[in-house]
Amino acid sequence: MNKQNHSEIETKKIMNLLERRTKEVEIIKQISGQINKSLNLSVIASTMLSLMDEYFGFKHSMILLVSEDKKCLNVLETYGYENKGIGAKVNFGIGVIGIVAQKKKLMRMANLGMQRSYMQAIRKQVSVSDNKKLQDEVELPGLKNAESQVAIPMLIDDELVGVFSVESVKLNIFDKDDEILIGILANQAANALQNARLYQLEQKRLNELNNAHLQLENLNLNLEKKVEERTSELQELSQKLAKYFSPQVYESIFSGKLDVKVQTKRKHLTVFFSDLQGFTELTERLEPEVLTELLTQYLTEMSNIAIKWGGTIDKFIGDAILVFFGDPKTKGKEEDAVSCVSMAIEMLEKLNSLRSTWRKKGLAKPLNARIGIHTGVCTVGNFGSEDRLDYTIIGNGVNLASRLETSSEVNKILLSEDTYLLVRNKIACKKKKSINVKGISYPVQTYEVSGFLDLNKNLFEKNIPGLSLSLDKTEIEDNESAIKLLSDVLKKLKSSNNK
Amino acid sequence: MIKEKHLPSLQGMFPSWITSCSKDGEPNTTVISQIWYVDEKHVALSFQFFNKTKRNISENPYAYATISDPSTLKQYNLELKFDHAETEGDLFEEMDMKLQAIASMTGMTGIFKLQAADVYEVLSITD
Repeated sequence: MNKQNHSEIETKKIMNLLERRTKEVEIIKQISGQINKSLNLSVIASTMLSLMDEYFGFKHSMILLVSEDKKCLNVLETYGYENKGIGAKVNFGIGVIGIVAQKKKLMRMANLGMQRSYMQAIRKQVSVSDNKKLQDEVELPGLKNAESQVAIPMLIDDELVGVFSVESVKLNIFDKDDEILIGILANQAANALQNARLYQLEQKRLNELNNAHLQLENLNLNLEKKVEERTSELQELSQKLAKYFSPQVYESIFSGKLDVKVQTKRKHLTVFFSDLQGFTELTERLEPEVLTELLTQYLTEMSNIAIKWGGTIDKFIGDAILVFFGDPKTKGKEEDAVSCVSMAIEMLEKLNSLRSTWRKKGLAKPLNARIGIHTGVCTVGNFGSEDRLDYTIIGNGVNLASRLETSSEVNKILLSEDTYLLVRNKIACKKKKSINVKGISYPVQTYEVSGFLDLNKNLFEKNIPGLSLSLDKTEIEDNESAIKLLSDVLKKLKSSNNK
Repeated sequence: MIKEKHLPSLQGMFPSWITSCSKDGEPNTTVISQIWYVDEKHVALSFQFFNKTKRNISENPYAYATISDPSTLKQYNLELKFDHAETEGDLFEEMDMKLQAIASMTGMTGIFKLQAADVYEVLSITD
């Protein structure tokens, strides 16, 4: 009877144990399912810790993770503490958690308080005799009056990722079964946390990559913007600079055809020189503002005409203008000379209309120009030093043009013979007296421009075998006689045809 | 030999007493902080400092210990015989770890060193 009773009790005991184990497995499955739902470290940890209280009554627990430099542990999440203490540091080898981390072995303590008191008593003795070796007592995260503690290393492939700790103020509260249970849960947590960590690392890298990409894009954008800014700055600058150059020179420099270095060449040019008579005297009488306006207007108009005819404006010297044709662009020696004289004619016409404008504005004394033009070989190019260059012409040709200008009558154009010979088919000229020029051994024959020749209107010349016909309407004095002569010729030709 | 009911007394809750005897028959009783459960027939004592107990045991392996259950305050008497000392292995490491954990908490890392886990055979337990 007694034996039977005993056996019944044993069976009941085993059944109870089985029931407990089945329940535990079920709970572990549930907890595992819950914590694997998330990829957020804190969410996993806090879910884990609160479920452990709910199912097993573990009132104080925490999860610590190995720091990135692997030198210590940091509290990731706590449960059931007044002060959450998240982020608190635990060094390897210090306290229950530190030792568990160092040894990678679990530890179950049953009477921490008493053992600590025992050690503190020893410390007092040691500190008298051997205090050099003593360290300061450290403040560790967790309950200050803990008696029982289970700390479990969280390992993945034998590598420590963190420590899982459960505490109680009660003595000897955790048994071997708790140790096993907490161990299984710690393992589950380790896996879930590792997954989350890897995911976060991946996310971090992705973010870094995205940021780098963004920075690169910004850099590119900035670069483009900078280049654009710089280009427009340069454009603005070059537009300003352009006003100091003749358009041809400017274009040659900026297109790269003309090198910006000391470099000259000999060329056949037609040189134009003009000056305003009495201008210097005018400067003493006029207000600077009026003078500036007047001069600006005059030079602007003259420049426009020069540009229109393709002249290279060499320089303005006060009211004097130096223009040449034949460099950097040339249309041929003859064409260049014709363009130059045509420009001069148009300039005089323009000055005429300007003069009436000025008169209306109250400028009593009319301004008159004198113009000299010569064609000859000159030296053209960049003169000066490496730092300061001047694109200009020098030579006797220039001096001669200047000399012709001073010899010219007001509002007339005086040409040298060299120019005259090139333009005489298109420009009507009157022969004037010879002049002597310093540096030229012979006297220079001069011609004064009277206007354009109308070629087709007055002249007719045709030759066939047996007949020469030459007509110059300007030479004919009696038009009727000319008509009669031609009628007689026609009659003769017709009668010989009938025969 | 050691039963489940004895286990709470072997968690080091209450100080235990151990009595040893020199070869000349002079007894010595001292307080120790803990007696560890090894298996049903064995317990272990931590050897940190050379003391009279250690010297006595080296001359005479028999000892007598008294342990207490913290919840019931019930005492048990154990007849022991020194079996062997372990300086490595699971038992040694577990004892060493616990010692180091407590020592480091009180700023005494390196001062406490477990010299050996002295394993005793349990000859008898009496209530």
